[in-house]
Amino acid sequence: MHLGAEWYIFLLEVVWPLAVFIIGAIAMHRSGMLPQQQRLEGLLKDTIAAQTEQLELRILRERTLEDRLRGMEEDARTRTREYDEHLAQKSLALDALQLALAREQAESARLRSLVADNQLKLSALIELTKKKDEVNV
Amino acid sequence: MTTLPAAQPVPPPGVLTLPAAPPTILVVDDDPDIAYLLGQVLEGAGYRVTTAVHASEVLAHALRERPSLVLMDVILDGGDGIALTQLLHEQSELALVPVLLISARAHVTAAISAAGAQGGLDKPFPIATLLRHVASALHRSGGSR
Repeated sequence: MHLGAEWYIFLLEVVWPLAVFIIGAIAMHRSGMLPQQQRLEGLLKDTIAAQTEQLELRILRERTLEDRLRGMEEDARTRTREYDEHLAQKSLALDALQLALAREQAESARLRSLVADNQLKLSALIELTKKKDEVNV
Repeated sequence: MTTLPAAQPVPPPGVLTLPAAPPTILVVDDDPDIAYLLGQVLEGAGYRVTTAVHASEVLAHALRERPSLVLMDVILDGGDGIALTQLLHEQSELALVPVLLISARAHVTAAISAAGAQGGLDKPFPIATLLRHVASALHRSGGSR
C-alpha cells in the first residue's frame, strides 16, 4: 500500500512532532515526579522506622512499669496481710492485758477495803480497851 | 440486827455537850465486827446505838427506831449506802435524819454529797474523828438535844 505525498507531509509535519511532543512531555513529567516520590517514600520509611523503634521502646517501658506495679501491689497485699495479722495479735494481747489489769485492780480494791476495815476494827478495839482501862483505874 | 442498851451519855471532851436523853445512832455495816465495835465505841461516848448488817433491813429498822443519825457503810450486802440514803430521805419521818457514810473507797466522796448524806468518812479513820463527825452532824441537825 502506497501512501500519498499528502500523508507523508501529514506524518512529518503533524503526527511526528505531536508524538515527539507527547513523548517529551511524558518523559519530562516522569523525570520531574520521581525524585519527590522517592524522597517522600524515604522520609516516610525513616519516620516509620523511628516511630516503630520508639513504640517498641515505649512498649518495653510499659511492660517494665506494669511488672513493677504488679510487684508493688503484691508486696502491699502481703504487707497488709502481715500487718493485719500483727494487729489482730496485738489487739488480743491488749484485751488480755486489760482484763488482767481489771482483775488486779478489783482484787487490790478488795484487799484495800479489807485492810481499811481491819484497821478500823483495831482502832475501835484500842479505843474500847482505853476506855475500859480508864474505868478500871 | 442488834439493839444495844443505852448507856449514860458521856460528853466528849471539848466542843460539844451531849443531851441527857442520848441520841440514837443507827450503825449499818455488812461486817458484823465493824457494826459491833463502832456501836461499842459510840455507846462508850454516850449514845444509844442500834445496828443493822443487811441493806434490806435498814429502812424498816430506821422507821421503827427513828434514829437521830445513821452511820452507814457505802458498800453493803444487797445494796449500797448511797441508794439507801436516798431511800431514807424519801420517807417523811426520816427526811431530816443526817446520814454519815463510811467507805474504804475515797472516790465515793462526790456521790456521798449527791446522795444527800451529811458527810463521809474514808476508812480507816481515827475514832476521835468519827466521834467529832457524829457530834457535829447531830449538832447541825438539832438531834443532840
